[in-house]
Amino acid sequence: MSDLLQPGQHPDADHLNAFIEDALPLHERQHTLAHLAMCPHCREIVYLSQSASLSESLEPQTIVTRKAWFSGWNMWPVAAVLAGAFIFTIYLHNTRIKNNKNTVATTAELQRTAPPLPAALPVPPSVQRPVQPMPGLTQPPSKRPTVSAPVITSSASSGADGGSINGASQPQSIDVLPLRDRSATFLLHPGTAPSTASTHGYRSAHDSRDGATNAANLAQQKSINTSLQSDQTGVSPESPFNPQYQAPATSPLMASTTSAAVGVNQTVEIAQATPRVDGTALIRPRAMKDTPTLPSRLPVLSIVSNVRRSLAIDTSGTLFFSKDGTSWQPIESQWTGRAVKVRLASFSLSSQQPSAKEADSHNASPGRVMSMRGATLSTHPFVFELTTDAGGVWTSIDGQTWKQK
Amino acid sequence: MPEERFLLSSYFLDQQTLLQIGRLLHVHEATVSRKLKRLTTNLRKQLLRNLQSGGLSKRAAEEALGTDPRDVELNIRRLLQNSQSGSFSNKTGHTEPDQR
Repeated sequence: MSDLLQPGQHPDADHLNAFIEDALPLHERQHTLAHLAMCPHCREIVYLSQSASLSESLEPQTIVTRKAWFSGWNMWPVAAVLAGAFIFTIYLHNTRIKNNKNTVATTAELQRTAPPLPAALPVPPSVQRPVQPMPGLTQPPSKRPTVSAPVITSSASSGADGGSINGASQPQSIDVLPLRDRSATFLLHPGTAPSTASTHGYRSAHDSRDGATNAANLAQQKSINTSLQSDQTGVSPESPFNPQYQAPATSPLMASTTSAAVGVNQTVEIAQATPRVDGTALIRPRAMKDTPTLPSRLPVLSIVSNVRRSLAIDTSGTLFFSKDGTSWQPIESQWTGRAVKVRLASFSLSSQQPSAKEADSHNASPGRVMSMRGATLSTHPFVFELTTDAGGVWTSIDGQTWKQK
Repeated sequence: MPEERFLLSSYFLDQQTLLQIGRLLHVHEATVSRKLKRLTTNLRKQLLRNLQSGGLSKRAAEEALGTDPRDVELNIRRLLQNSQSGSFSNKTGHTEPDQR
């Protein structure tokens, strides 16, 4: 016990405050605690003062003043830099505007003082070449490229026979046929004489896309056909050499060979097919739309057809012949064995040149022989070829008389 | 110990909370709680020893400690407050007549 805390005496306020603030030395703190343990009055004072000090200490903590994150910065230099940059930008902007005004004024003054520009320079003739329409033909505007000025070869353009339709040296514009179109049909035009046969292929008006072009071609074709009526001798109406004959299912190869067979040199743009001088393309086998019903009531084993004739073999090996595709007549077996297949074989120009007798026998229809460029070409480019089960091959021109190959 | 006496008087007599006692003593309230627990346990053991040394059996001493203080004719507050000089047992004889 200290002298100040004698029994019966209470510590003063400063001493208790020091006790609350834990500012008393250890021995005085022990004496004060011993007194507080025995003195309820002093304990009450201590707890009241403690609560008051706590409330005072908590009040400043509750009021938290939030400062901006840039409050500690010194803003004056930054503001000065920004202001300087702004003034400099305005100065640059004004300078550019002045320069632009000076440039515009100078240009206007030069335009006023400059002499007038000379006339436009003449375009070189090679560049300014006008497109002249072909005489004789009124070619409607078409996107397809055209082939101009076909040149008739010496055999066709001799002039003595006058067999050329359009004249030997008359320029002509021909539409480049879309050879990829398999549905196109062609009108074949024979020449006035077999030696100078000039056949031109024209596309019919089946293609609705080129209606105008085809209409012009057909009109021209009609006039040409009228002039050639007197020259059409010995040509059957169904012959491919008939002017009104429409070859079915023309292929690109057909178009190329048609123009080449008449001996006319034309520049034809062919997309895929390679032009080939082949008389076999004059007559193409006609596709059978549906299987015919044979008199034997047996299913058809093999069937083939050209322009006018059709041959069919049933499962029993009997060969049937038909001209119209509906009425069939059996053919007597002229071969050994059983016929299993019939097809159209190409007629070889070099190996199977028909004799004069054979040519005379077929002169009426359709075994006519025409000469082209020194080669003899038969109008039977295809012959029927029959194959038996023994491997024998028999050929026939008319489908009724068969000879072993 | 003066601190132990302060804790007991503040908690049991003044009904102060552990938080208030801890703030005044600058300790955590859990520390105050542990100290109070240890003090009460030690006091109980000491009382049992005193009772047994006074002639009571162990069971009789435990029954005496389990007695409800409201049934005991003692002013524990006055005893604690006036126990500076002398032991608790010495003061009991003087205070009982005053309570009555």
